[in-house]
Amino acid sequence: MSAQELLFAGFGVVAIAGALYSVVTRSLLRAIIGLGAFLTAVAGEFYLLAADLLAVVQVFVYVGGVVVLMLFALMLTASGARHPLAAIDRPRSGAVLACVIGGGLVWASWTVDFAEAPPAPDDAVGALGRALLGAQLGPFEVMGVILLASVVTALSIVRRERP
Amino acid sequence: MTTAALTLSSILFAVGVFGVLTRRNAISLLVSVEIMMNAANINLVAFSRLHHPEAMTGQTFALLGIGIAACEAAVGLALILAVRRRFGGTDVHIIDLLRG
Repeated sequence: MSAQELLFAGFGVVAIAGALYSVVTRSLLRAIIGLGAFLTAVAGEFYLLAADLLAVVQVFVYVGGVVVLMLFALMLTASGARHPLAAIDRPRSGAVLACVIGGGLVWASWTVDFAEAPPAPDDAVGALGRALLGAQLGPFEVMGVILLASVVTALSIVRRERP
Repeated sequence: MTTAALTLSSILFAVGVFGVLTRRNAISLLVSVEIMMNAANINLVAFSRLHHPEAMTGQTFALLGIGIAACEAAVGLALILAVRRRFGGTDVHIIDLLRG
């Protein structure tokens, strides 16, 4: 087992543990912290899959942005509770359904015999930048418009209406 | 490596499904949806590594997916704030204006 595969397995264990913790814990704050650990581990997986820029973007946007945004939303909605809690509804049937879906997906991915991955390009970040400003320019521009629209939407939703 | 990545993303997706099915708090639901979106992103990056890694199609897709997830979190949390202001809680079961 090479060092890369060992690291991949390690990050995978951290990711699964963080995700499981954030869906089974009753404390909302701990769920968000578990999500942060999960997202950081996924950034490590991206790096090991030769997606350097995506790993950095994952840390910046998710761990630095979305997690902090969720912490702020929790702070604003917690209504004075010191440890805001959330109930878990019908865990048994949910676990059965999740196991069926997950088992089916794992079975499907084990039945296909994938070819060996070709060597990663040397300049992965440069290639991604050329793709974004070349063949993929249209989706990239549309993404900017969607971001602007979502910012305006979020602001107009939370704005207090004048009497 | 591809099989390992697909297995990991399948397990993470199942964990997210469990969260969406069992949680009633809106913030917990958003956390579970983020877990599922990240599982999908791992899949995209793994297939980008397998097929034409120099074209970067899968990585572009994953990058746009991360952007969409950020938008979704911003709008979702704004909606949660508005619901909290109007209904006094973030439990999704208290929003029943359309129930007959």
